[in-house]
Amino acid sequence: MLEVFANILTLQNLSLILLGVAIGNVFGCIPGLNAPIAVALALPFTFNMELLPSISLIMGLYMGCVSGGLVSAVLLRIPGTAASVATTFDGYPMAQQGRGTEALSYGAFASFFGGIFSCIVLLALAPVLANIAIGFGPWEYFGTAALSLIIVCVMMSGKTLKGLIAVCIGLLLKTVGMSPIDGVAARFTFGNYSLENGFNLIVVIIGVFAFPEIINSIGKLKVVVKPAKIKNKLFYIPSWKDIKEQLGTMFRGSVIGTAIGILPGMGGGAASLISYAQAKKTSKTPEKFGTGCAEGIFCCESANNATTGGALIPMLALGVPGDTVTAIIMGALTLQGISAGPLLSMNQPVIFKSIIFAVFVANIFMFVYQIFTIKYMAKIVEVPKYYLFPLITMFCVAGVISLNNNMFDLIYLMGFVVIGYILDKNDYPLSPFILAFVLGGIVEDNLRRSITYYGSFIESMQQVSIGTLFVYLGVALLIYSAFRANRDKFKRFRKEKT
Amino acid sequence: MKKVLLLLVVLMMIPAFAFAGGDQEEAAPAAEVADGPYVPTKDITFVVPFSAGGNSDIPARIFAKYMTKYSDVEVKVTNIVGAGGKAGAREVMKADPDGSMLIMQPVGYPMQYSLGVAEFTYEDFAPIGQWLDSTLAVVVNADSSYMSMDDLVAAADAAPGTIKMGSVTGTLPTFATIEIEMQKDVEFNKVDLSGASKAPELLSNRIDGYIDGFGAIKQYVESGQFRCLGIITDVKIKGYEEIPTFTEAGFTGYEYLKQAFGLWAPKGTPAEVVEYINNLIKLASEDAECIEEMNALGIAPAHNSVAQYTKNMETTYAKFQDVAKAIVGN
Repeated sequence: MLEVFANILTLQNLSLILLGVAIGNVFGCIPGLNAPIAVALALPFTFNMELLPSISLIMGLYMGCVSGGLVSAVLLRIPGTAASVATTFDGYPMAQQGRGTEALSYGAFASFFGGIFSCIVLLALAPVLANIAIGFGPWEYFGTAALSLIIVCVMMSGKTLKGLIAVCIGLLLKTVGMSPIDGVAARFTFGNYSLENGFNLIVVIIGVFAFPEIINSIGKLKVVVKPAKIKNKLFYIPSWKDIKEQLGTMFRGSVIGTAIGILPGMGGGAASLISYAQAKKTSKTPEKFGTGCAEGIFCCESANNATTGGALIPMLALGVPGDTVTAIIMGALTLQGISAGPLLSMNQPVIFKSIIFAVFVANIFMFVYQIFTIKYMAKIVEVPKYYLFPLITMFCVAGVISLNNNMFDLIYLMGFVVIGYILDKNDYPLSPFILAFVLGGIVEDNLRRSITYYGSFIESMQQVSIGTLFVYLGVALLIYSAFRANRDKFKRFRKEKT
Repeated sequence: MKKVLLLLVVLMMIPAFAFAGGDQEEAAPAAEVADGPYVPTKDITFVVPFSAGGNSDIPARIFAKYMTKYSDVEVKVTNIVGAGGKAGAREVMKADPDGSMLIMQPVGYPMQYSLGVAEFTYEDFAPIGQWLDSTLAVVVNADSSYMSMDDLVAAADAAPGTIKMGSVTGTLPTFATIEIEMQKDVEFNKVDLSGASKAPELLSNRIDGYIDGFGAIKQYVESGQFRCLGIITDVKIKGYEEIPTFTEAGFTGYEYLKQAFGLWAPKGTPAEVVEYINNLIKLASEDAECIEEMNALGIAPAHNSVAQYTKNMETTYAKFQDVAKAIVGN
């Protein structure tokens, strides 16, 4: 173990982690730039470095990116990535009430808690949990993803039907492009080659969240946001009382995040939205959610950061990356002559533990970096809106262009601005829409794969598996919520009669 | 306060960069430079049409490092991703034919052409040569009763269409599965393994076997979780002599299934430039360190002449056309 500490705790490695965290934070903040891009850009540099420095830099970037989304989500209601969509729900109202510094410090602490929690799980249970993850085949993925979509809708109290409609619109838009698996059919492309790759998730998020927000604000240009109270202190951390109160919320969020992170492909977006829905359902004060309550930040920020350790579990223990970033990290390790997989923890335990320790240190640095910079970040909201919004628009457009250097992305971005604006104005929840877009591919691919495995959907449903259980559970949840909604109506109807 | 912080950050960055720079210098010692009448003046861009850190990108980065070692200019890897690898080829097709921009030819190109999804062939480029030999391997779970290819084929014969053989649909492993089916007159249940998880499907016995690059399955064979029934090549892999080749397993005419990666320049590139780069491939592929680094990944650097490579491309394209016809015919 001493060797592990000695590996990472060198001046060079620590400064690389800090550098990674700082750059990653910027990448996380800016819509369009995200963790996969940051890590891919750093890859050529790591190629010329030794193993441990390159791990330090990459892990710093990874942690920095995942938490960086917090800042723009809270202050501007613009989620930099899918993972910070849920953070806007309570973080933004809080910032508007002049509690921006508080919101950011909550987010930073929850991120830290989630990151460290998943890191400990990674260290202690990686081989065991990886074996559980193996049990997840196509049918189980289908069940989990389908159930997640239903849970998020059902937990939109009073808006379940609208949530379901939003899910369906999301799933439908996700089908545009080449059909997955066989790539034979070009669906809804109308002969346009540019549509063959489908819609990019980042473009959709920017279109649905960022621009409608800017359009909404045009009418309120003169409204002055209450400036955040900036105390003359070096850093901001939540009070011990707050932390103690939210410990349960953070713990649940971290468990959800780690569990979802382990499943390849699900990612931080799904984790934070599900955690938010769960926290709202179990909260003593669910009516406060969406108005700027601390719980709403703690639950989703702990969950999205916990996915990092979760996603590293299958990568390090099985050689199966949990998301795009870990896939690139695995490539970086391979370039260094380290093959992540079942043999890594057995043959090279020191390197295995050094990687985890680097993640651990990166989480600490990320926290320290954020609490020190909150003071400066929180001032963003004080910039007059007629300066701020043109700048954000420029960032969003540049971010979209930087994804693929493709002008076509900008054209359908406008389409999604219209969709997002119309849905929002008509009180359709946007989180089920985004989640459908995130999970749509998983639902479709794994349903098709299940059918090739077992012959048909009906035969899949006869498998004794957690997937079957989840599908039944999803159907039962929908029936139950429909029944409950109508029971209330029925009661009201009867009351009016008497 | 701000200034102090800034200074602190800058101070901490200095050692990081200093060390990184130091390593870079060590990595490129003065080496003999490929001689010939042509001397390049521009850096060479080695375009990998897939994302950074992937199975094609990693060998390319290693090989580019050794090509740089023998050249006056730097060989840089750039990823131009999109359209199943076709975006990169289209970019290079438009580039100046001066040897400064090359495209890595993956096995996908002949396949995509045969299936009608790619519009270009090797004839639209100036083929330079092959640089990488990668081998496909057939694996089953170590707990299974299949001890050889014959066992697997016999099982498929006994219960047609039920033995689940995995591959990423539309890639070389799918063609390999079809080739096994055609040669042995059996039928597998061909399941798709695209997405991230291939090994877990076999580890959990949801499928009976799958075909993938040897480099990707090597570690599971070493850990004793998988059994490799055969490698789709006629040359043994160093260190794994006990694994039978496909010739030993009784297959013929499978040469087109070898995972050979080549290098193409834009059409119209002068012959001496093509020769120069071909010679760089030769020098790099004979470098002992390069061979060692590649072998550790279960792959090997390769080299052949421009003429030989062009001929191989011709037969590969023709063979894929035939097999694709057979698929469409079904």
